[in-house]
Amino acid sequence: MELNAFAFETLTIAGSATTCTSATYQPASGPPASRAILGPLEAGQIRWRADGTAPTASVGHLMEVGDPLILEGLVTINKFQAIRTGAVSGSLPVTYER
Amino acid sequence: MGSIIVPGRGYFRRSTKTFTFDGSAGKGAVGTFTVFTVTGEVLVVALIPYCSTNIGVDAGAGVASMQLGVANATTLFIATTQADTIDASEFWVSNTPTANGIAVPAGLQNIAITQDIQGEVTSTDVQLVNAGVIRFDIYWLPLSSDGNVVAA
Repeated sequence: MELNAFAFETLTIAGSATTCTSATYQPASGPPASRAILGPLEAGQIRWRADGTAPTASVGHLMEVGDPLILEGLVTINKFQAIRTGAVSGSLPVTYER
Repeated sequence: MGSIIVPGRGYFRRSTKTFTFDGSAGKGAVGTFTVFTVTGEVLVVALIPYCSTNIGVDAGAGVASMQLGVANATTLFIATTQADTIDASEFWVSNTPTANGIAVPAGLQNIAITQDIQGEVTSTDVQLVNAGVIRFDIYWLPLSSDGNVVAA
């Protein structure tokens, strides 16, 4: 089935674990997102996890400035969390599709 | 069913730091300022500082200069450069900043390091750097398993 973009946000990944915004990817009307296109990451390196546990500055998948990431499935999007590794926050644009 | 796709990032890794000088400690006062925190051993594939706002100095006596290197070797990348000669739209890749375009000097390519990337403000008397913005872009690769470069 063809997916269509329906929402966008820019996440600021700072010193505490940040999630995607539920109200954005799971709006009050219409079906929720089934895929999220994240990045390319800007400004600062981050770490991420999608297993429901918050990443830390030293544990999690590294995401470098310029890296993209694709999350498929509402559960995976719901569990995604990210945190910066250094003093500079990351800026992560996200487009949601359904 | 959910899944995660991590598209290839390409061969090199990239970090960037936009540094604003205001004359305070670590931001233009005489002494060092840290641009990137380095863990383990890394290969600096290319390091390119670009000035977006003229570097300015205060009215103090003497002449302020800047250099770029790593902790314990602060001229490893760029030799001592009179600070107020670094102007907007110039690449600071040598002690004669250049606009428009320039071949990246050998001193800013393929350098193995183990220390934080630092600049240093020096002065013939007390003059310091109190204005200006430089964006530092670095392409790098890890050498050790823990090799990493993070904007400070």
